[in-house]
Amino acid sequence: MKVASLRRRWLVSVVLYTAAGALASTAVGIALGLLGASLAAGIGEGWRVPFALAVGGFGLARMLGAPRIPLPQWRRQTPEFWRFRLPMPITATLWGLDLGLVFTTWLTYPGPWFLAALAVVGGSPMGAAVLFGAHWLGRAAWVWFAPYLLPSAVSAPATALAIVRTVPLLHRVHIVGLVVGLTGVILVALAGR
Amino acid sequence: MTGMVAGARVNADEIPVITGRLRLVALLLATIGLGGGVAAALIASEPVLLLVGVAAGLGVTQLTGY
Repeated sequence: MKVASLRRRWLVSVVLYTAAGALASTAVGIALGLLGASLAAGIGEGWRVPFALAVGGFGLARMLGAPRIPLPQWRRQTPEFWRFRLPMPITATLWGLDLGLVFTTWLTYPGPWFLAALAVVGGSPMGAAVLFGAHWLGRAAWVWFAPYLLPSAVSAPATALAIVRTVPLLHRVHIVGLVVGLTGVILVALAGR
Repeated sequence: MTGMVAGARVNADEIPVITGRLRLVALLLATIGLGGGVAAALIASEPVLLLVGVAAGLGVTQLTGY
């Protein structure tokens, strides 16, 4: 009975976390798409592809070990005290909203800036919302695997150390993602001609 | 085998198990995101879908940075 209750609470929290983050991320996408649309109206179209390639190329060069140019970011974490002061479903919702905003917390990799460039370049609020919604779903998917990833209820410290060991793989996946993304930009540009 | 890291008790035997699972899930999610984007773009002949898959794949790599 107790375990079933905990499972239900976990499921509700994960659903709220995912939904709140999707809401925040799509809002970020819409804002960037609107910015792109107004820029296109003001300064024309010629900057789009070079800008996306430049931002993506910067990110890729950084990932491949180019001189460590600081990643523009707000060096902030989600407040941990929410976990101690608020019911778990509310904490999960707030974490989702906060992390879903993408740029209000630590960025490990430059990919979100590439996506921001794509959102601005696309100039479509709906398209940018889909882009940032997809990014959030990729990020939030991890929490759905928590029951598989954690062997026991007291595995959190071991998980933190295991995540450190997983970073090199995540780094490589991010590089592949940027390469595919840059290829996509070129293909979209060619298809648009 | 247990130890202490930053005041928390760590079961060191669990670390390789969790690392293996994290790597498996990372590859699974990245393949779904990036591979799904490539497949959707090819099937629909719509390269923009590739970028949606890229977005999902890049999101998977944001496991750290909370």
